[in-house]
Amino acid sequence: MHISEGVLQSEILISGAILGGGLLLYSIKKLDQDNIPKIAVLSAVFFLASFIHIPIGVTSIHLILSGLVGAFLGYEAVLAIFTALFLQGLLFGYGGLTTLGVNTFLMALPALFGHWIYSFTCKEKFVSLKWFLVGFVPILVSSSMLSLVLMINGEEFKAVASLSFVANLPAMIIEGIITLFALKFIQKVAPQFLRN
Amino acid sequence: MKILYILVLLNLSLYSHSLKIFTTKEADFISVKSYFSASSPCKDCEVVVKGLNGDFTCKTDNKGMAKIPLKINPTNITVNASLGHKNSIQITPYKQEIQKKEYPFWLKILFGLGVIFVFFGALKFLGKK
Repeated sequence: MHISEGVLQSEILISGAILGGGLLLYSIKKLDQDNIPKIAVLSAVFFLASFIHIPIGVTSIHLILSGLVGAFLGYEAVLAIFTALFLQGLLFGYGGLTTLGVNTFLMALPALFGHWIYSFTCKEKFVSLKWFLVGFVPILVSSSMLSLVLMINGEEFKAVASLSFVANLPAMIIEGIITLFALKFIQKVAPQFLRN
Repeated sequence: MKILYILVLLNLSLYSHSLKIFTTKEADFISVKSYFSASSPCKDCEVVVKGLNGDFTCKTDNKGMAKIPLKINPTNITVNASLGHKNSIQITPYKQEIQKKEYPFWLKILFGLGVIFVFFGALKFLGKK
């Protein structure tokens, strides 16, 4: 899901930096001091999740858990994701510093979709489906945005754009299932965290 | 025209006996490939290497290949074929690459987690003030 350095055109990098930076500033503005420990824990979860790689054919996908992070943090998820992406780029070369804005935007904005789905009131029998969608939808949105960015980047990236979207299809389902079980587990052991 | 044709023909025959040398740097050695232009490798030819850390002599194999250890830091490679066919190339001395210290994966993960908690801890601390 991370876009490496030296791939994107400068126009896209600048636009991504403006959008990602704007989202980050809004997140800082909305920051609630009491939520900082929760942001730190979920930033660590996001940081660790990316190291679990699943090989799919010629490429590989990895867990992102942006939906789960978004569900718990709302707008503060942007700060958590930005911090984790910054350290991943700096320490492991996942993504990079010039693509930090684009990557933040690609993963943090869909995390907000996770929060909106999570906040949506529904009937008891549909709660499991809702929790599945909390994990599924952000990856669907992120993958679509990633493919779109690659397509805009140039003709030669069209094949990679399609391949990355197809490769992320299983990731959407896996993330949906993991998020569903994670939320079920939290409901069992610490239901107070699930209150909006 | 006939004279020109003969001259070109003679020139081509000379060119076919010129000895070519190619070198490529690999992990711990320099690979030398020597051949005549008629795609025939220079088999069993003597390779004399002068290096900053000593000299080295070996012979090429059936494919015209020879391996020179990088530790002698070669500056000149001469391939000596029979019947006076000889060629040599100059090489820029190999500079010892600075080995970047690579930290273990798990240590970097722990460091990353540490930075996250320290960063947010500092944010919480500053927010209280």
